Amino acid sequence: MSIELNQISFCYASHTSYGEYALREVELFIGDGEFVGIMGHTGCGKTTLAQIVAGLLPPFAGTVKIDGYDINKKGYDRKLLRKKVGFVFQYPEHQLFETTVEREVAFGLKYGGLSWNERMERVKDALECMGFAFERVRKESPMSFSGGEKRRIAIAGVLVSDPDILILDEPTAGLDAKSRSSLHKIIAKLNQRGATVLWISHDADSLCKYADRIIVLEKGKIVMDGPPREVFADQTKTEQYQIGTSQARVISEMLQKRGFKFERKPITYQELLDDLCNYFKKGG
Amino acid sequence: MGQYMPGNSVFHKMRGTTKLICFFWILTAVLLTDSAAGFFLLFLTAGASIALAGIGLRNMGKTIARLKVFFSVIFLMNLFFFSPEQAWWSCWIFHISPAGFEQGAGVVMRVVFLLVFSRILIATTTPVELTGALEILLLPLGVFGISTGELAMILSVAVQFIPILSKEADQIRKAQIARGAKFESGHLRDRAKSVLPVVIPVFLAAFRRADELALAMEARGYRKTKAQRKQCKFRVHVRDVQAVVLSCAVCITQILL
Repeated sequence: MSIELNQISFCYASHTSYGEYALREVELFIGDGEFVGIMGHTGCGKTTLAQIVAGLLPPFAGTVKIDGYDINKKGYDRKLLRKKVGFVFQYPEHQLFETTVEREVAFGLKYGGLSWNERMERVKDALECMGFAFERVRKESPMSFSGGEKRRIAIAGVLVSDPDILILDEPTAGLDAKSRSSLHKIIAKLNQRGATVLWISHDADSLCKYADRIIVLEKGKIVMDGPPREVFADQTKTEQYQIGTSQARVISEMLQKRGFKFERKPITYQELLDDLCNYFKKGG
Repeated sequence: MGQYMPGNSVFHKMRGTTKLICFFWILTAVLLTDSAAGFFLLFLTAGASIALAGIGLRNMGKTIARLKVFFSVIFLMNLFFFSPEQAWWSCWIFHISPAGFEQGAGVVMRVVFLLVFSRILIATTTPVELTGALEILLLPLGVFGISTGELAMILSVAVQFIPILSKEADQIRKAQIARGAKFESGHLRDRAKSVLPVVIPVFLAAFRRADELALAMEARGYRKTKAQRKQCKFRVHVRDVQAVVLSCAVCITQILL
């Protein structure tokens, strides 16, 4: 499902004299099935952009089209939007409220018009996707789990409605390494099944690995937009916009200084490994 | 909260303590007002204060308009039920009398003025300054063995929690909307049903935050102490004196009228 932003501006506290622009005339097209990483230092407008795409904030000016329909037009069916777009907030575990895990996860299906059995089937899929044994956890209270587990339950509660567009606002902040990489894999899998993914993150390594495209925001404007390799190739800009760079890229840079020659600029460990192997095979 | 409007007016520069004292004078004046001349005086005071504080009439109008249903109900209740004597019009238990009209209009005007003046106070004073001012004004209570330092601490913590919790509530509300909670629905029933998914997480968040804060305070060595006086050097400016005298004058005039 495609996303199209036309001349989007957003201003906080717009009715006062001290209002501040969070987004300035943003133009963006995201095609069906793309995996897009959004980067930029804090306060650059990432979260605002994501919430506008999800229809959670009305833009100050401009239009948002999802699948070709203007979502802020009168008469647009918001229920459809909620079903199509899943949004994982930064601390999703804070949104838990139900008495049992199965009810918590099923909340998003409440108004979907599905039968009980269909709903439970979806809940089971979502929980298993997040690495839970459905029968064991279904009657437990979501509050009784640990932080990381709670977060996975909350994310299951978003995935359960099988969204075509998935927006994630730094969902890995504060997760341990194992849960982080498993979450990355799950999202990548959903993307392969056809979901459009918008991932806000500071983690250059995993974006390099999974994203097709990286967008960098600075002071409410898109300042870089392209495949990870292009974005991270420009070192002056990555430093200027404080987005960091992937470890593999740093290592390859160090190797290059010591005389190694790479044909491309490797940005993931896999690429680095391949390039090194090639280098040694050729006999250095 | 979030009602504070940054600015550079005389009101913004004035001390919180001064503003609070003036506010109490004016409050007394508003409650004592009972004549047309008195209301006219209040009207002038309010107009001058709004202009000096640089808040803008539109903003003020919005604040008042938000309570229009409340005002109408008070006015109509007074109008219909005040007294059956000398009624212009009577029917069953309803009587419209001049006295009722006067009473209704008076009550509504008093509430409007209270609203206007408290809005000016809140719009020009940061919450932190306001609690600081309260702390100073409460100091005399120490004589009765009430520890004002702790009272002020409780107040300031409570005040500082408001924006944090309201931000949290907003986030959670958005998260539940994204999951399909029906806040946007026009039906009251749907909206009422959507309250629980927000109230429970916000409640939990409040407890979590309070716990964290208590730990953080302890970790930094917070002890029950006597009132810590942050603003020991209380320098009185000319404008502070002027403000207190002026507001006191308004109050006295009101009594005389």
